[in-house]
Amino acid sequence: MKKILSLIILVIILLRLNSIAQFTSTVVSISGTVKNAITKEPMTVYITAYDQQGKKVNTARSNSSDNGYYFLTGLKPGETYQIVVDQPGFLKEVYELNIPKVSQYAEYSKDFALIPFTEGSTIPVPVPPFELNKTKIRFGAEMYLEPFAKAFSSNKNAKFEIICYPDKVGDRKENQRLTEERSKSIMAYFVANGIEPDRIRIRGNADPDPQNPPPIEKRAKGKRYIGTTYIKILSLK
Amino acid sequence: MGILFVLLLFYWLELPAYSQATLNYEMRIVGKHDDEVLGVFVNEANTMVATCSLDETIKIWSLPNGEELKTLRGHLGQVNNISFSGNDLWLASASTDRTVRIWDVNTGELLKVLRGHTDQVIGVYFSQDDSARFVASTSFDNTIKLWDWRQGIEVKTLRGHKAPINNVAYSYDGKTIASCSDDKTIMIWSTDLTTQEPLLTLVGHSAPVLSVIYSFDSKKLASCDQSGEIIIWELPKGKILRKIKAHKDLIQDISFAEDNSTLVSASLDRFVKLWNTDTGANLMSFDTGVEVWSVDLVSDASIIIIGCADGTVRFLTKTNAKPQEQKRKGGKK
Repeated sequence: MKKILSLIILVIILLRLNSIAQFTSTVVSISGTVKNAITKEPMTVYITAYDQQGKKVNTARSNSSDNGYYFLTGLKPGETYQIVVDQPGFLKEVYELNIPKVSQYAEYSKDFALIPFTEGSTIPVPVPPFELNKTKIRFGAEMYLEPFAKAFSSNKNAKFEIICYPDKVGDRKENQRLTEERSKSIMAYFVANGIEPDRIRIRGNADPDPQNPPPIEKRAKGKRYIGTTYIKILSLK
Repeated sequence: MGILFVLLLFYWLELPAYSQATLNYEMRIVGKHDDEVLGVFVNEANTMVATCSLDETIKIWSLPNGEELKTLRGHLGQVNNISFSGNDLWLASASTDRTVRIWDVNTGELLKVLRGHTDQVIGVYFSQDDSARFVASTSFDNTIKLWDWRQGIEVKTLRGHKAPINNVAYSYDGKTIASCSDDKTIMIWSTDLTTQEPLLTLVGHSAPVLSVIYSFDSKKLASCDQSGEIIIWELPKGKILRKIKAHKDLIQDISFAEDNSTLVSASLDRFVKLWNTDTGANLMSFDTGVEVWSVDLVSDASIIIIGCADGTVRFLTKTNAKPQEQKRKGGKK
């Protein structure tokens, strides 16, 4: 009886070791493209994976002549990594990757669109932070402003302008009022996040955005048009 | 000669009404979104239909009654499309806010937010097997992403289209997904996690392709475009079976019935039409009086659900009346 019990325990230990060995030897990779969020041009940049202790695990380089493609390997199943793209002149991108507990090689995907952060660049906020005809920042939209707040916090000398455009061609006076109010709302967000008011300028507009005008084509997708909000970097010194 | 002309004119005028359109439907408004209704999707059991709208919400309605069951809120932009999972437990939604969201159909709880597209998410389709592990999505970033939604991870990104991708569909056998684009092509992709290249590129449309859908037996694919044309493709070879000049304006949405032959189309020309895809015959043509963005139907085509530009959700219910008596019962011009 004792021998049988010992044998069972031995088998369990061996199985356990085998599964651990599988997990530790299995490699996971991540691939995708890196592009300039404004120009959509592919970029050559370094992509680095850090483990939960902040230790660098591996680095890959994207290739601008191959559509910005990168391939980062050496990751382990069941682990959490920070995939960081920290390119000078662009907002830092950090993506948390939770890798499933797979027992064989797996490859996952992640594309990056880097937002330029240089003097003179005019950057659209990726998702309009306002509802139609509203001036208050909508619930949940702060996440799209957060990268800018972080960048301005770490660049203490940076000065910038908030530019808002209206939702439609119409009453120019009303459009001007709406967009100035929107600019003030965004400014209030930055001030609440520690940015000094004297570093911020605001600008409303009476007419819609000439770079991204309201759609005239009869299409369902992308039909709801909300005026663009831009952040223009005035100076970084 | 005059008599012949009159006979020809009579024949030309009357043929579509009497010898082609053979089914009759009555229309009723079951409810309303606050803005245009962009997507309609009937669940597998034919007990619920979901709609999504420019008003940034998703609504779930009962079938066949049309009672409004739930309104799902959370997207930060218009909701472009929706899809029930094959087991009817979850709903996926695609939005201008660049996310795909997964909802619990019974509780209305938001289960997952999938972020990864770098532009508006336009199309979404749940895998139709019982595990419902994967969700496919398309975006104006010109990619198709396949998600393992429970893990919240992109299992692959498919690239090949040269212009924004308008929609995606999962085959019912789970082996392929189809995407359609402003580049006027349709691409067929393997759901195998290692294959990255398209299996087929289907060329035949002369305008941007707005939607694509598989038949339930996965042997046919239907696509519709901005010029009002429908193409029926034979799978797996991708041969064109039939081209139908179906509508006078763009067709945003189409759907197959369970017989794998009947197809419904809806257009901005205000008509909803049923087609026999084997013969090309027009089985029904209904003037709704309102621009129609989206359409789906219960399996036996006894109820057609449409999402309209005036925000209304309408049911077209099959009746026994003669086809020539078809008239809209409500709605605005």
